[in-house]
Order: sequence, then structure tokens, then C-alpha cells
Amino acid sequence: MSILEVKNLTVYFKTFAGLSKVVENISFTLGKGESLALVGESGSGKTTVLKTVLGVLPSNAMVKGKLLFRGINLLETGNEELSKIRGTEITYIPQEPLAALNPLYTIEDHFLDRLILSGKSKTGILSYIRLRRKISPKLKNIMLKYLEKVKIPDPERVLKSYPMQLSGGMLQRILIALAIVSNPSILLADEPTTALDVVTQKEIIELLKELQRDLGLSILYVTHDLGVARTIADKVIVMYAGHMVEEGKTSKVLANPLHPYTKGLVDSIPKLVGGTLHGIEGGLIDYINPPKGCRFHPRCPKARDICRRERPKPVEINGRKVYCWLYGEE
Amino acid sequence: MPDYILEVKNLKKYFPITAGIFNRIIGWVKAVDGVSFSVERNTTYAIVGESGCGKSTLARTIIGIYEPTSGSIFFNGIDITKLKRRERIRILRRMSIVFQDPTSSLNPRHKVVDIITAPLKVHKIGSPSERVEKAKELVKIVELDESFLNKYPHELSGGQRQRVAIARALALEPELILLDEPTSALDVSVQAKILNLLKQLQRKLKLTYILITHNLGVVRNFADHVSVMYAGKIVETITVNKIFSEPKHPYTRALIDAIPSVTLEEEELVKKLGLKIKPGEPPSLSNPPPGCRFHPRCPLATERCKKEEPKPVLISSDHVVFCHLFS
Ligand SMILES: Nc1ncnc2c1ncn2[C@@H]1O[C@H](COP(=O)(O)OP(=O)(O)OP(=O)(O)O)[C@@H](O)[C@H]1O
Ligand SMILES: Nc1ncnc2c1ncn2[C@@H]1O[C@H](COP(=O)(O)OP(=O)(O)O)[C@@H](O)[C@H]1O
Ligand code: SF4
Ligand code: SF4
Ligand SMILES: [Mg+2]
Ligand SMILES: [Mg+2]
Repeated sequence: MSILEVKNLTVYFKTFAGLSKVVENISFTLGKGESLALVGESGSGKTTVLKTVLGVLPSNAMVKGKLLFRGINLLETGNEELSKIRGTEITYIPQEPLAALNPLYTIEDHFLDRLILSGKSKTGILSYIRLRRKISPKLKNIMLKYLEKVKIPDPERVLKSYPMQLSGGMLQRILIALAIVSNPSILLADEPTTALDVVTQKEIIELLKELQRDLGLSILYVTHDLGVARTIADKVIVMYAGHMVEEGKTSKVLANPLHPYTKGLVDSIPKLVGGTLHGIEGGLIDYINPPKGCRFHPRCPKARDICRRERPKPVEINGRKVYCWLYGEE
Repeated sequence: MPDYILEVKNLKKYFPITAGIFNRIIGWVKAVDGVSFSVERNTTYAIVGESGCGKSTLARTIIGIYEPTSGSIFFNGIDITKLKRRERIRILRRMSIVFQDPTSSLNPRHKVVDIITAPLKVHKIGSPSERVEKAKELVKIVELDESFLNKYPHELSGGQRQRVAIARALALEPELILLDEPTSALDVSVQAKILNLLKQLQRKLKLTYILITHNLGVVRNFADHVSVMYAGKIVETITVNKIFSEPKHPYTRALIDAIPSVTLEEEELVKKLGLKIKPGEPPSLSNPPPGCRFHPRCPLATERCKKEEPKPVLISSDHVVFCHLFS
């Protein structure tokens, strides 16, 4: 059963220089208890997609398409239901743990904010003083329970700590605890391990997988690291310059990439077993005047005439999808 | 006898921790705590380890940005820590450094041509027009077009910025280049291009590299020798071929274990060589654990590890490990 269905999502930004056509026609479904990775290089629109699902795009954004959460379109405005879904049913782990927490408040304060105000407050100190009076043994137990769920050693001490006093790995665990305390069904994660070193990264990924299993969470995981995508996600969507280029089972896509961009990426990774590194020529896409047709054509060694004119349609091959004129009909 | 361009012996770099209005010293951050290794000319020597283990401090101490606390650094056989300032500056010209973040390491108000020729200007080499000629040559070497000389850093992509940083590092025709996470801020498709460029320059210009990285995949594809660092100390020194066939130190194996593999082949290698460690944090460098610094996280630790610091054990002529399991 799908819990989130994204249909033809397009996100443009109005800028001084013109309309920036960042994300175009993204479609995918996220099943219950499933994990899906959105991979792509810097600037490919991954965070933009996540922010759209979460409903936190800046005001210069223009959004088209449908975002169906259990059949409800989240893009319909003026619906009270929606703001409740986002922040409780759909929650988020950000990329930069320190930036996401308020340095002036303890971890306990952050929990209170989530538990009582569902994180919607952006509260000043006054309301915190009011909130602090509400700490009951019951609330405290919930906090401790969640800190234990994310395997924080010495949770009593951690509750009283300020963000600056904790390591990056600890903070990321706390952000995960804060994200699951409302018992969400979907967890959005934006490169939650990029700032961590590999050993800690592995621990966090294992934790997320465990939570996914135990709580039946669906996870949409953004990363630029194909290895991380392979470790965490059953399914992967590869994005290039705001377009989907390939979709399928992660292990299959990486073992046998169909799209020239995916192939280029896989061949660029320095592997432990050695081999020649290739890299991809060119780079940097201008979203105000994006390449016509296939957005990858200026960098594609296989580009033909039609690639410069027409956008490739999805072609299904063995349960996978690829957007490239090398496959299927012209 | 191997021809060593650099020999680092028992190098230490401590940073003071101060407190109070009189900045009283209350302790030391032992970022580099007795590190020794030797780099053969024309090869690449990698230093790997988690963030905060002292890699950058080591590089900055070698190149003279930091004054060492103790120890020696022999460059072409001369201990540069013993030299007078003037003499040292002259010798250090034969070394350069490329930093991790090409955005913050390039002055945003300077054009590429001025960035690349800055080291020449500092050392008063050549006339202004000769320096521009040199800059033209250098951008070509890093495979950029001459038109880039008049651009500002913000007009360049991350990969192009790192090419500019490499061109600058080549300006004084160094023999040894320290690469401090030169590709960590770049996308993999760009990283591959930069690594290939660096390799090609190494052959062409007979360069020696010290590569600081946390990415073992990069080590595998780029380096000849490697030292693994943990909490300010080297725990294992080994050839790159051997680290992926017979790593010995539990921490080296933990690093391998943590790699998210991209292919089945890689996954099998990781499973074969990796060692799962106890969850935990890297230790504090001001108050490291006694004995072996890795013992609180090491699954193979014994009582001895808690008390006694491991001495180097020679596994073979190019393989040293600091661990009681092998003594
Ligand atoms: N508010 C905005 N106004 C204009 N352009 C924007 C805005 N937000 C994002 N963009 C542009 O959209 C593109 C995609 O950005 P996004 O942050 O989604 O990329 P990403 O895939 O998450 O990249 P990274 O891996 O670097 O985090 C970029 O070119 C970015 O500059
Ligand atoms: N200039 C400095 N003053 C004080 N402490 C420093 C300084 N530079 C680095 N350190 C400390 O030294 C340790 C090692 O840092 P660093 O060499 O940057 O590690 P790495 O490059 O391996 O990530 C860290 O604890 C860091 O905070
Ligand atoms: S559609 Fe054409 S340009 Fe795009 S990836 Fe396929 S072959 Fe290359
Ligand atoms: S000396 Fe002991 S604690 Fe240290 S790595 Fe070896 S076995 Fe582990
Ligand atoms: Mg992003
Ligand atoms: Mg560093």
C-alpha cells in the first residue's frame, strides 16, 4: 500500500534573473514501511523535493502537481488537516544537526517543544518558561523512552545538555528521536550522515533501519552517496538537474545502471576493489535556461539529435524505469 | 635504500587549553601525539582517520603553519624544525598545500590570475608580466581555459575552484604537495576528474603527495602507502595493496567495515576484512584513555590494553601495527 504518492511534481523559483526551473515532473510512490533514496549530485533538486513534501518551501517557489498522503492532496491550501499531518505524520531529519537545534535551549526544551507544540512554535524564552512548568513525570518518561530508542547513553544527563555540549553523532540521534516522538508514518531525511565520519554514519544508518522495521516507518532518504543509498534503501530514484533519470531496486540500479548519467556516477566512485575512475565531463546547470530535451545531453557521451530536442519518456525495463532515448521508441 | 623525500619523527603538536582572564593553561589538546612516518619520493602517502583525529594538524605542522611542539621533520634530509626562520621559509617553498574547501581557501575578491600568482609575488619571483605568463601556463596544466584567469571564484564551479587551488599549489614548482581532503567537498563525478588530474600531474612533474582523507576508496585508487590515525596517533602503517588484503589493526578493520559499499564485490570485501566495533565516540584528545587509546571501542581489547600503550610491531618491512594482539 502506498502512503505517499508524488505525481508530476514541478517546482520553479522566481528569481531576479528569471524563472529558475528547478524540479520538473517528479513522480514516485512510497509504500508503507518502505525506504526510498533520492540520489543526485549537488544542486540536483533533492532538498527541493523534500521541502515540497514537508511544505517548507520559501515564498518565491511555485509548485505544481500532486502530493497525496493517504489520498489527501497536501498541495491543497487552506486545509487545517494539512498542517497537522506535516510535523506529526510526516517529520524530518535535517542535514546540519547544529543548525537545526536552538543553542540556547536544552535537549529537554526541544522535546517539550515537539511534544506540546508539535514543533510549530519557534518559541521565545517566555513560552519556554511556561512550558517548563508543564514537565510531568509522564512527559519525562516519554523523553527518556525515545532517547533510549535512539540508543543515547546516559539519557538523563543528555536531556539537561545544550546542543553545543554534544557530538555530531549524538545530535543526529537526538534529531531522530525528536522526529519520531510524534509517531510519524513518514520520515524524511536530508543527508543526515554527511557531516559525520564513516563509523558514526554506519551507526546512524543501522539505527534508522532498525526504527524503520520496528515502527513500520516509511523513509524518504536524500543522499549524494550511492553506497549510503544502497545500504539504507530498497528503491532508488536517480535525479539529474531536477529530472528523474532512473528508478528501480537500489542493488539492481547500481549493479547495472541503464542511464548514461547513472553509469557515469557509478564509474566515478573510487571503489575498494580498484578499477579506473572516469568522472563526467562538464557540469553546472543553468536552471533559468536549462538544456532542452534531455537535460543531461550537454554532458552525455551518447547524445543524439532527438536528445537535444525532446525530453525522454520513461521506459520500463524489467521492473525498472529509465528516462533516456537509448531505450524504447523515438 | 628507499629515497625518502620526507621523514617525520616523533612529531607532536599540542594546543593549549586556557581558562580565566589570565588565560591560564589548564590542559593540552594533543592533536598530533608522537607521529612518525617516511614518504618515498614520487609516491603518494595517505593519512586516513576520522574527523578530529589530527590529520589536518599534522599537515599544517609539516608545512610550517603550526610550530611543532617537539619532534623532527626531515625534508630532503634536512631537519627543517632546526632551521632559522629565513632558511626554513626558503626550503618550505618546495612544499605546498591544497585545502579541503575550495570556496573558503580562495579569496573571493581576487581574480584567478592573482590567486594563482600570489605565491610568486610573496616570494618576489619574476616581473608582473612574467608572472602572468606563468599563470597562463598553470591554468593550462590544470586543464582550464585561459579565459578563467579573469574570473572570480564565485563564477566557478567547485571542481574549477579546486583546479585553481591546484594551479596555485604548483606555482612555486614544489616537490611535495600536501593534499588535505582535496575532493571531500566535491561531487563524485568531479572528484574522479580531479583525482585523475592529480595523478597525471604527479607523473608529469615528478611530484610527491601526502593525501589526507577519510575516504578509503580514494586511498585505494590514489595512494601507495597509508597510515591510519586514531586520536592523534598512527595505529597502522601499511601499503595500499595490503590494507585491502591483510589489515591488522582493529581500528583499520573498523574503518573498512563502515564503508557503505556500492557493489556486491565491495560488499564481500568489506564483510571479509571488516570488524564491527562497539558504539562510542572518538576519545577526547586532551584526556585520552590510558593504554591503547582505542580500547573503549575495541571488541578485542584485553586487560593489558587498558594499562599499557602498544608499541610498534613490525609485521613485515612495510607494515607496522600498534596493537598488543600482535606483540
Ligand atoms: N529559494 C530558492 N530560490 C531560487 N533557487 C533555489 C531556491 N532553493 C533552491 N534553489 C536552487 O534549486 C537547485 C536545487 O537545489 P536543492 O537544494 O534542491 O539541491 P540538492 O540536490 O539538495 O543539492 P545539495 O546536494 O547540494 O544539497 C539549486 O540550483 C538551487 O540553487
Ligand atoms: N588551532 C587550533 N587550536 C586549538 N585546537 C586545535 C587547532 N586546530 C585543531 N585543533 C584541535 O585538534 C584536534 C585535531 O584537529 P584536526 O587536525 O583538524 O583533525 P582532522 O583534520 O583529523 O579532522 C581537534 O580536537 C581540533 O579541535
Ligand atoms: S536521452 Fe540522450 S542525452 Fe539523455 S542520457 Fe539518453 S542518450 Fe544521453
Ligand atoms: S591494543 Fe588492545 S585495545 Fe588496542 S587495538 Fe589492539 S586489541 Fe584493541
Ligand atoms: Mg540538499
Ligand atoms: Mg581536517
